[in-house]
Amino acid sequence: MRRTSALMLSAILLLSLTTLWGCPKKAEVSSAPEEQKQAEPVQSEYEKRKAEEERLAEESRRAEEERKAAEAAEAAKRAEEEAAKERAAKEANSMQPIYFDFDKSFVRSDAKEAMKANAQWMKANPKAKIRIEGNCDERGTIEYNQALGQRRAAAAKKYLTDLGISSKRISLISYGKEKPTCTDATEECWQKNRRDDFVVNE
Amino acid sequence: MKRIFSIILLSLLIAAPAAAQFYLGVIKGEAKKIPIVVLDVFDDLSAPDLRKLARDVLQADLRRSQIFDVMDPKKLDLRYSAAEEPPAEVIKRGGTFGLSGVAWASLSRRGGDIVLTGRLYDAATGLRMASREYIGNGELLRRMAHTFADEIVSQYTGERGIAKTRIAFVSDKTGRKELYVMDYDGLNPKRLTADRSICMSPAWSPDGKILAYVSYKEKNPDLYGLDMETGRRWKISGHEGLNISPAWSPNGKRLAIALSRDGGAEIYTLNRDGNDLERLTYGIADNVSPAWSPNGREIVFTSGRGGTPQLYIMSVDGSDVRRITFDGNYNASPHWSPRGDRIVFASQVRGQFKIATIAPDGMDMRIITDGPGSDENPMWSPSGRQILFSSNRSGKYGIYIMNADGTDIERLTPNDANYTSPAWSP
Repeated sequence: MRRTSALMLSAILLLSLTTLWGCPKKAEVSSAPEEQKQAEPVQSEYEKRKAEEERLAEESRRAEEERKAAEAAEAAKRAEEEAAKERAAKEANSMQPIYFDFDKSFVRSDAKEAMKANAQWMKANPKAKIRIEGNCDERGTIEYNQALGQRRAAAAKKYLTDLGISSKRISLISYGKEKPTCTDATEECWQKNRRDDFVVNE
Repeated sequence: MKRIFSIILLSLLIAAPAAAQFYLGVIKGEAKKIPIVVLDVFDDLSAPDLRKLARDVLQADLRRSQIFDVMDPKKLDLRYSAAEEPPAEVIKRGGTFGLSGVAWASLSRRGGDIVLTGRLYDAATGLRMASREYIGNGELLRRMAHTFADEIVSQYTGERGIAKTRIAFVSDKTGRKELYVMDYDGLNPKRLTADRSICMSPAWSPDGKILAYVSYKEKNPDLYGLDMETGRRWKISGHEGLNISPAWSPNGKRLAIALSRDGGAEIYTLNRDGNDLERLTYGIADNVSPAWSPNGREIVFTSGRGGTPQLYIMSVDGSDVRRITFDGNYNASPHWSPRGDRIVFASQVRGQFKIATIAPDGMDMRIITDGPGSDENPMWSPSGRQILFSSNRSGKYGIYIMNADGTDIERLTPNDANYTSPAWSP
């Protein structure tokens, strides 16, 4: 099995080598007499014009190619820069979570800096769309917490739209008390769970 | 579901005139329970396991019904084990010890199936009150015993028993919150969903055929319907934002739910296909967890309009709203009793939920659970004699039942995962 395939491979290689070898020779041989025959009487005139034409064509072709290459390089650079910006944004977790008081949904004064930074980020990334995820601590019923989480997400959305962000770029979801980041029965832990997460949509 | 129907009720012989007597006095909480014994189950299969199973299920069902004081026949010297039904002298001897009823059952084989023959006797007269035969394969024995227990309940009260009911619930056993169903005594759990997301808030239609529930499987809390006979599922309501806390109207035609399509959560009613939306609440605060009165004319719900979550009642057209809870900072998850006289809910006491009941006019609030942990999502049994709830009193969340007054708490689920949001089938 292995031997036959090796044989076939070498056969193919040989074949392609001969074709490659043969081609330029053939072209040289065939083109020279043709030109001589046809262009004999007006050779100098015709030759000159043709050469000039060819030179010009070649020049413009080269210029075009150069321009394209430059454009492509620029586009690649731009894409790279954008990707780097996006990566950086993601690495910086793009937007910061904000935290709430028990059973409350207003944006606290200690969350205002984070909200301003979040709005800045959205202005710097005008194509980005985000999802605000509202969360609650465990000290409430499942259903009432779902409503509270929705209200917390909506409060953050209002804050961003008041700062000039289009509401079309923001979707909301409430997880109520279903997605705690911490499960201890302490105020420190509960505070971590009473939060809005800002997730950039893929 | 089909299996249930495969139990064939073979004979229906009501023998003695005593069967016509209904002891209605037991409905009041203060009433005395009816003393009864279940004699040893006899079998001609020589299968002591099945014999024990049948008797254990019968005794547990009768005890859980809260109508009976289930006595130990050995202590009353009422040993009896034979293929023939017990003679009148044996029954009457029970009567002299103060028993009201004597139940006896035997198991036999018919083809590949098992037959459970159940008899109920009036202990005072020795007369037969009821005689039933149930047939099915061995796996159905538990169900047959449940059916006979319900028959005994019905003989004494005229009510339908709860021994054949089931409980839908949510568990994170697989790592994700999926929907399950089990028998009312905690056995035969079966998984119903594989959404790999978050499922919550199951609610049985009044005919027991459809389970409405909330799932995040399309990245939004949407309301779905699950046909328990065919397994068909469909989306009932998928508005942007919340579609949560479903409750069926008593006639099964409408669902009350909370939607956030207008900003905050508001109560709406809609048809089971999601059409004919009607908004009932208007406010600046959240309104969730509706529950219908048994006559279908009113809805009790949780609202934050007063600053803290409290219970309110309104008419089904949204008018005549009144607050009924004033004690405590957090009263939520109401459910109206089948007789309409009480509402059970979760009330926060020192930061943790306890189960409480209140009259619909806001009078006579009683906290009926205590101890460690949080007791949540309470619901009445179809008979109104029991309350079902979830609690993390012993570590993870489990599902518990107790008497309507808070006594006899019994845990139904193991401690291997969280079990929440129980819903009792009709």
